[in-house]
Amino acid sequence: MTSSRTPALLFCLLFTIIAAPLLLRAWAIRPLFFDAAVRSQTQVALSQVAQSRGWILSDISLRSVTADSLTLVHREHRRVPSDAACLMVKLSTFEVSPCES
Amino acid sequence: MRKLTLIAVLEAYALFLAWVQSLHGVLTDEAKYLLNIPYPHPPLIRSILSLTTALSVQEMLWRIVFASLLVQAVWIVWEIGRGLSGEQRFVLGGSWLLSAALVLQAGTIMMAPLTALEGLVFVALYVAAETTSRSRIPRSPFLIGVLWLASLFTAFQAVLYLPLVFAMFRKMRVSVMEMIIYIIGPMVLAALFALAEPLILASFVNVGTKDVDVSALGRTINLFRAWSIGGSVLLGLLGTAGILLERRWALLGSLLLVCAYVFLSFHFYYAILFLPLFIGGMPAFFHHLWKKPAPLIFPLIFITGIILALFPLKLSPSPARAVARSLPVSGTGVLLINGSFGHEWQYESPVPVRRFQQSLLPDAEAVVCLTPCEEMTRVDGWKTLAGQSVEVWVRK
Repeated sequence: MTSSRTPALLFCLLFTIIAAPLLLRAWAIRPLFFDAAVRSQTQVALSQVAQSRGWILSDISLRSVTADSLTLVHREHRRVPSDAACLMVKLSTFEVSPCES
Repeated sequence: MRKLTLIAVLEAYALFLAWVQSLHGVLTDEAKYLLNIPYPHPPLIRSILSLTTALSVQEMLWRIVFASLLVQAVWIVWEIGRGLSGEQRFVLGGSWLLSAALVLQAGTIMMAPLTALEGLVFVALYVAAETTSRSRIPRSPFLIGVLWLASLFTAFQAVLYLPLVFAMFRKMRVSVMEMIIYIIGPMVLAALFALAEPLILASFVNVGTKDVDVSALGRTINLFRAWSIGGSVLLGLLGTAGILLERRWALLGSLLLVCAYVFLSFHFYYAILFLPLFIGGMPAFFHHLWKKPAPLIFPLIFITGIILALFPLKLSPSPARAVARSLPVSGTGVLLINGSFGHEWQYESPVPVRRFQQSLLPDAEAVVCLTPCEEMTRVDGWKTLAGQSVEVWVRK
């Protein structure tokens, strides 16, 4: 009986291993799902940051979103390795600062 | 020895198809996968592709791999034809190899052909489960679950083959709990992945609303185009007739899902998603109505030829490739592009790509104007690069 359940348990383990980081990532940006104002401000903020720097939107990855700010990482997708830049953007003023500050 | 020769001939065919696709250079979607740009599909295949980004032969390598996988998949088609006569099996294999969808799409670095290949494996397992004695039915829900998970993490559209997967599990008489674990579990993970990456959700909205202005007639014509290319018309007719003749409900369910998907949001490259389903239906047609189908090959080649003439492959280098090859760049600045552009520019450019802003000109080595750059005529120190299909500015 136990051995017949082993593959299913193994599959559940695989499920958990994949789901855990995805859940953490979704949790970090949860205001996007529940708060329309944050969602729309995030959209504007990303467009503004991208436009002012000439960045391509798909090079930007959202790391976290709160009611007041968002954290993003910009990394160019190129054939040679490129540096990543982490920025924090205030959603009220769209003021941009490096993640460290 | 005969089998080895056949494998070598098939490989030569795959190499030819890969070479033809390489003449134009990478397309925007191909660049997206080769550079691991995180939308619209999950990361399984594109993260593998990106491991080879630094290789100068990256593009050709994957064109050959993808073309070989599709062409050598004829051995799976051969298995699907088990129980048919030798002539019928050869025609079935030839139908796979000579269909317009395979000729047009083998050698492209796209997720649709891989999804079609995964679909073919599901069709083979399903046909085996339906036609052979129960002792020969594949009895590993775990392996099918892993394949289902891998398919969904290759491309979300693998969900179109859900009826086949469901039918296989029913045939294996697994418990409801196991069905939930192996079928629903991977779908939950795929949905979770989409939630965790807002860019994917945004691209879903784009895909869903892309054809919103297309009339019902326009959508029907698009569906007919994809269906025709998918099976060079003939395979579509025979495959669908075979599905109905033997009442293969799971194949019919997947066929209807693919039709609905293409109807809602048409892309030329979805055509190949039809092909494994047609192949799954054709043995039934041969079995009941066409014992000597060898004459099918000639009209099939003819119709594939017509489709190739109507939708010719691009054989000249793309603007991105042509410009990148002639840019006199030192590698320290950026390439500015004015107007809407695809990811192929990121792939081909030797320097970082930015959207055109006049304020970024001091950092620029070159400017590509896909829409006219009137500002550039008023800026000193720049000249146009002659002999390009698009407007290109470089420093004097």
